[in-house]
Amino acid sequence: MAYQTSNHAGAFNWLFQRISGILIAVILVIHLGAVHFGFSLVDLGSPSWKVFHLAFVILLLYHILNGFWLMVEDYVKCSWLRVSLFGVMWVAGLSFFILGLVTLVPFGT
Amino acid sequence: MRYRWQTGAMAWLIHRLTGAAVGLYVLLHILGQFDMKYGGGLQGLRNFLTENVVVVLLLAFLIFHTLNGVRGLIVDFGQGALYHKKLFWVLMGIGVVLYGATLMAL
Repeated sequence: MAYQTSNHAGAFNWLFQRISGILIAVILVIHLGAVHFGFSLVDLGSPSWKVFHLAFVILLLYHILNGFWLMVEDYVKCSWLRVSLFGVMWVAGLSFFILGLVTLVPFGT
Repeated sequence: MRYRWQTGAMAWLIHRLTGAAVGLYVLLHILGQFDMKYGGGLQGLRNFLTENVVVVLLLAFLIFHTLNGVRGLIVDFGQGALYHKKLFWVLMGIGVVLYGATLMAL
């Protein structure tokens, strides 16, 4: 076996890639409308918008990094490189989560 | 690796490429917003991300990736496998209209 994982890991990733994708599509439309197309004069510094964007960041990071991981699984055959890249995905995910968190918490102040 | 020039395989490949590009954009967007709060040294990055060419490409990639994702959901959870090619072109038609409307609203 080239790498170790539980039998259900792939099934979870498969399902949650779809669930996160649906949620992202919905949140994206609201995000674009409220922030980038300026349809409304919302206060992005309010707690509810912070929670909204934090949820957006988490869903996006999962969806993006799981997508990258799917590509690694398809194209990278070398097992130590796969393991290393799996680590890179986690480090990148946690790092960008922290970047998003410390940006959003004081947002608008 | 070789890909066969068929609707499903092409859609899959473009889904991958647009996903990688949009994903990279999102990561840079998060980094840019962080920098705006805490440093400001990455103004060049923010300028790049809001450049017309980049935004116009991003929206095209986003609309493709989203609508082809919808097709995937219909194939996976509905009866989409029976008519996935027709579905692809119907969704791409919707995508073109959506893209036109979005560009006009920019």
